Amino acid sequence: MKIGIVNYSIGNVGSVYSAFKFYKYDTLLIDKPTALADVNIIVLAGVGNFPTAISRLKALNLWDAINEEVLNKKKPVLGICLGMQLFADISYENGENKGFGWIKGKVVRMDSESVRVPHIGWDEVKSSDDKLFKGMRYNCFYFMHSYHFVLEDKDANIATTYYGNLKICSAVRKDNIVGVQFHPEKSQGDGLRFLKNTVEAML
Amino acid sequence: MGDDRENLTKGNASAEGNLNTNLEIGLERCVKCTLPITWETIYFDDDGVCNICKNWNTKQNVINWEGREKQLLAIFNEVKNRKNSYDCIVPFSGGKDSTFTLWAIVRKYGLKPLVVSFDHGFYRPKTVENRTRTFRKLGVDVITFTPNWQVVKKLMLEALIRKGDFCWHCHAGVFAYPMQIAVKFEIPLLIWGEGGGEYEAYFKYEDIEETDEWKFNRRIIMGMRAEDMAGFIGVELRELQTFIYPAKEELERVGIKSIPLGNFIPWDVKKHVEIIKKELGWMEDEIESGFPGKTYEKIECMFTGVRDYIKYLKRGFARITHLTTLDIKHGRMSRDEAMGLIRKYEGRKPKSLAVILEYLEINEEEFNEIVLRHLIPPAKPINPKTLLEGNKLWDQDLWFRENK
Amino acid sequence: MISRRIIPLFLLRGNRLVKGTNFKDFVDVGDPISQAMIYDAQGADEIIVVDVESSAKGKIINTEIINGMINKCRLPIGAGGGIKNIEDAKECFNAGADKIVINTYAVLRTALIRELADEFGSQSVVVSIDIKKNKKGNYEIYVFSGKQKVDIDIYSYIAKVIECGAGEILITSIDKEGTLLGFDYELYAKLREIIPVPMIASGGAGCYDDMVELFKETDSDACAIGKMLFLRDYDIVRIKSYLRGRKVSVREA
Repeated sequence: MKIGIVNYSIGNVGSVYSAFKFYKYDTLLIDKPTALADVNIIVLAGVGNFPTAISRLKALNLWDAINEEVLNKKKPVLGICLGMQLFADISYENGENKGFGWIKGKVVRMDSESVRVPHIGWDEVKSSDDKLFKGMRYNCFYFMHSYHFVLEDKDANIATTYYGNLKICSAVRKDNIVGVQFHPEKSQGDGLRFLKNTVEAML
Repeated sequence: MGDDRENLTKGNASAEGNLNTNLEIGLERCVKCTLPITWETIYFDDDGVCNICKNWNTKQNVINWEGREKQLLAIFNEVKNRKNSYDCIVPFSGGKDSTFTLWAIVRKYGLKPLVVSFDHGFYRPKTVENRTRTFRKLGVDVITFTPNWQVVKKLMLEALIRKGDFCWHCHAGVFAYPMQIAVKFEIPLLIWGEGGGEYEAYFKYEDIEETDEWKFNRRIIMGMRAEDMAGFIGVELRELQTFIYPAKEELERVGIKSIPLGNFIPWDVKKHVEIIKKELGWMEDEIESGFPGKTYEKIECMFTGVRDYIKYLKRGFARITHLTTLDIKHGRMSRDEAMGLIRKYEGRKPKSLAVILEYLEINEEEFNEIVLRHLIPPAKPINPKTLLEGNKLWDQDLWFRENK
Repeated sequence: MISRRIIPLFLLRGNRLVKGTNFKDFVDVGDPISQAMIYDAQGADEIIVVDVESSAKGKIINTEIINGMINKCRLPIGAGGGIKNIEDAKECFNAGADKIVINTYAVLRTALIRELADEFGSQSVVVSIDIKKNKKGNYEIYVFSGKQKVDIDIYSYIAKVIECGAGEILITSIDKEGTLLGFDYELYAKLREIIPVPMIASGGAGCYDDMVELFKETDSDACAIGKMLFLRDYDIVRIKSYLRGRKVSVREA
């Protein structure tokens, strides 16, 4: 069983990598389309912004390949933070850009009139998915984002975080696709547990 | 003496017994067990009950102790079946907890332990006697490690200055050294004494706590590891080898499991003391900071009195509070009785202070200046000159002195 | 609801951490990687590490140290020290930093903030401002680790910083830092009114009640603490227990 981490940014995905290695999963970094076929789970991770992530994935010829693996071959995929936002139809970060479109909805900036933007820090996640959030000690995870995923496909929303009067979608799940707005690799024990649960649930 | 006291507490309400500034000004205490707000990790709910009482409640009512003991027996059976030279390591000091643990491992559970004892330099004569008697009656192999005294002295002073607590080498050594032996001898199981939630809320009873590097870094080493200390006292890291927790890879290679017995059986100190007295002839001793007479609490270390004195200056409470808390929790004493005893006995300056000052090579003024810097508000500063002195321990004159 | 954050602030000098008073008289307080492991185990909410000499030396913080900390610590880490352009920031992110902290160069060339926010996202950009009160009681900005005063109105600077897309603002009171005498509550209460992004208060924490007062009176989102942890007998577990008891919303340690 292999986990492949796709880094769509210039940032380091070492924390994500080491989080999976904590459970001794066979984990590798993916930088070309042919490597995708070998892995059982694709993880989308990285720092940055929406248009930069897309152009980097396209530059590496990964955009279409990932789409093929996930949509047609139904390969499990986990998106973290910006990685989850890539699932959307469209994002309004630094322009208007199309995402993978796997889960209907748009990515928009949080309204700084009603809450402090960015949403940074540890916040509670209320989830309806007992498998992915099994055995959590605190249900508190680290968030770091200015944009959030507003779903049209409400059934895909499996976790919510109430930030001020804003209802943030903190996790999505649809078939072989899982995404989280928070950073499990930065959320200590519960974060690690989440990653393990996800791997076990998706295989 | 009495005049000084009155000066210190002038303007305060009560004037009975042995006045304690913090008591009178109202250092907030738990309504059930009297632990004060400056006790490490405590907080109170809206009814004034502390989280440690609640943790205790969990221990009494929520934990399935039968289930836990079954888990323990399974672990023990597994190691016994391996038929290695040793089934486990029992880290040992000679105090009531490690003595009971060793007795249980040998007599109750029938394992063959390697006893590993870290010699912090301050075992008292009666404890040394207790240790010898215990080892011989039970029939066990023992390794005792004594670290470099010159290094220890530097570590003690540095820890006192930085944290107001000179016991770093002891905490670090007691926890790291047995792990190193476990790796060296490839012994996969270590059995410690009580579980973590007993006195503080660093760990909860619901967690099956493993005494591992997380706990070491979180609580044991006072915010400083060997890598930090080496720089502070100006030595190479290898001088502090004893205080380094083995790397995760090494622990995993041997498959080491490190567990406190107290997470698998309910810890009843009074019962345990009765057992070790009867079965091993374990003897009590007097301490400086407790009630008059002999006790079973913290009798193994020469500097229990100084530790408690420092705690009193920093936090406004000490051993009497600690002892009465346990009695209240066990239903053996009322809160009023406890407060009365605290007022009467807490807060004496130990005669053994002279010895530690000699080891640390500082005088009392310097000591006071360092310790008072570490006051933990909302405790109020106490003037050490106003405190009564305690009685000298029977064995103090037998202790090692540099200047003899 | 979102928790208030308790953030150990690591000041790096060479390859050791240091702590001083009012940015002077530094003493060694340990190894950065060792300390990162400790605060991870103690349940800190994140760690910020800044090199106090980089900006003056024209270098950036040692990225090997960032990398070493990331490998041993499962908490978000913000790193800073001499970052003056996108390339510098890239190096820090490549080493594993989750956020970068800019101070001197944000003052000297404020467009830097916009460049970094556009490239990496606002949430990854922390603008750190060191402030001292002058004889008239007005606040002034200092750069190069408190060595050089700049003649810029603090309120207009902050407005500009926010306009340029800073994700968080870290305000250090040079007067208070290292004194253990409490935060400059008045300063943070005032700045809270003009700072719409998360605000981290830094400088002066000396006892539990200092943090209670900070969160209750100034609505700061987080506090960065130093001497109280390194040179006094406090730890994150105890701090959070006390804050919980005083009804401050903190994540369990």
